[in-house]
Amino acid sequence: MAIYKNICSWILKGVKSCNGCTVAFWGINFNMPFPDLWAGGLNWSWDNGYMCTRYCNLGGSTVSLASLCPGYEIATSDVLYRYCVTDGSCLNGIAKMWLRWLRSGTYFINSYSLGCIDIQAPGSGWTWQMYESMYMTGIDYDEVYTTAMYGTEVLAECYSGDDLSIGECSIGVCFTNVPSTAQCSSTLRGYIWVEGNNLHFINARCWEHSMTGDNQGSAGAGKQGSIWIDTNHYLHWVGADCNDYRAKWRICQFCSDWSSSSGPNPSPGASYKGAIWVDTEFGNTHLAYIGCDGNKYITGSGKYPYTAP
Amino acid sequence: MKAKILSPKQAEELGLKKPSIVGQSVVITKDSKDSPERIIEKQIIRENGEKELIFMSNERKAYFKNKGNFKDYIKQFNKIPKNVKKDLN
Repeated sequence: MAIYKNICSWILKGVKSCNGCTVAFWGINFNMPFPDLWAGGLNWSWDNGYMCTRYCNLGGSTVSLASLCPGYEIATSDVLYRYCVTDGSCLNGIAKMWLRWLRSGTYFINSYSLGCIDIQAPGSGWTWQMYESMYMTGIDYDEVYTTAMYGTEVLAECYSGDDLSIGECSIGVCFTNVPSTAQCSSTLRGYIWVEGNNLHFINARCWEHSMTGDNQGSAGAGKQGSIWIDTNHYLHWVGADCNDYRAKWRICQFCSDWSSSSGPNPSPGASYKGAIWVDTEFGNTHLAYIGCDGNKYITGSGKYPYTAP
Repeated sequence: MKAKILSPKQAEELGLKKPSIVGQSVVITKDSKDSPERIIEKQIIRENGEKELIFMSNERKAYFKNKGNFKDYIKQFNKIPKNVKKDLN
C-alpha cells in the first residue's frame, strides 16, 4: 500500500492540448480569446496531463524580451498536482493548490483553487487524481517590467481531511532586455496612422503598437495612408512605398474559455461595417472593427495566437 | 439593425459568457498492473471557484454510494450531468 503526491510545473511559450487546440503565449496581445483547451476527449496521462505538446520550457534559462512590446504576453505557468494511491489504500480531503508568479522573490500573482481529493485503489491496482491549471504573465507595469529573476512557485496545502500537502516546486527564469512599460498621454489613445509601411496606433493601454503587414502589391500612386477592410474581413493599409499591406491575422471574436478574456461576438450588424476603434475590452491592446458581415473582428501587432510559438 | 452590444457582465448574466476555466481534474483507475486505465471522473474548475462535474462513471458512483457520501460529494459541484443527477433521487 502506498500513497504518492507530487507536483510537476513548467513555464511555457505555448501548448497543444489533447483535443488538438494549439495556442501560443509568447508575443501575443494581452488576453486574446482562447478555445477550451480542456474540452473533448478523455485523453489524460500521468506524465503529460491534458497537453500533448508543451512548447519551449523557459525554466532555468535567460530570455531576452527585446523582440516584444508592452501589452504582449510572454509565457504561462502550467502545473500538474498529482495524487496516487495503490493496493487498496485511500486518500480523502480538500487540497488548497497554490500557483504564484514572483519577481525578485516577491509575488505579483498569488492564486489558489480548492480541490476535493477522494480516491481509493482497487486491491492490486491503483487510482490517481490530477489537477492541471495555468496562469499567463506578460509585459506590463505590474507584472514583467524590468530585468530581473522571475519564476513560479506552486504547492499544495492541506485544507481538510488527510494530509494532501505537497512541497513547493519552484522554477526560475531571467527576463532581460525588458521593453519600457512607460505609457504615453491618455489623450493620444485611439490614434491610428501609417508610418513607413507599418500601421501604428495608440492602444487603450496608452502604448504605441506597430503592425507589420503582408505586401499585396502596388495600390497605385497617391494612396499612401489609406486604411480599409476587405470582404474577407482583413485590415489593409497603403504604405509609404504605395504598396497595399494586409494585416497578418484577424480573429472573429468569440466567447473565450480563458481568464479575463473576450465575451461573445456582439454582431452589431452590417450597417456598422467599416467601423474601427482601439478596443477597451479584455486585453485592451488590440484593434477592433466590424467586417462586412456585421461581426466584430480583432487584430493587433502581436503574433497570431493559434500557431506554435 | 440597431446594435445591441453587451458588456461582459451582461453577457455573463444572459448565460453567454461563463467564468473562465482555470483548471481541470481527472480521476483514473487501474485494476492491476496489466489492466487498462479507465477515466472514472472528470471535472472543471472556473475562476470564480465554481466546479462542474462533467463525467462520472458508474463504478465511481458505486464507490461513493458504498461509502455513504455520494450526495455530499456531489453537493460541491455547481453543475452535474443528468445521468448523475438522476441517481441523487
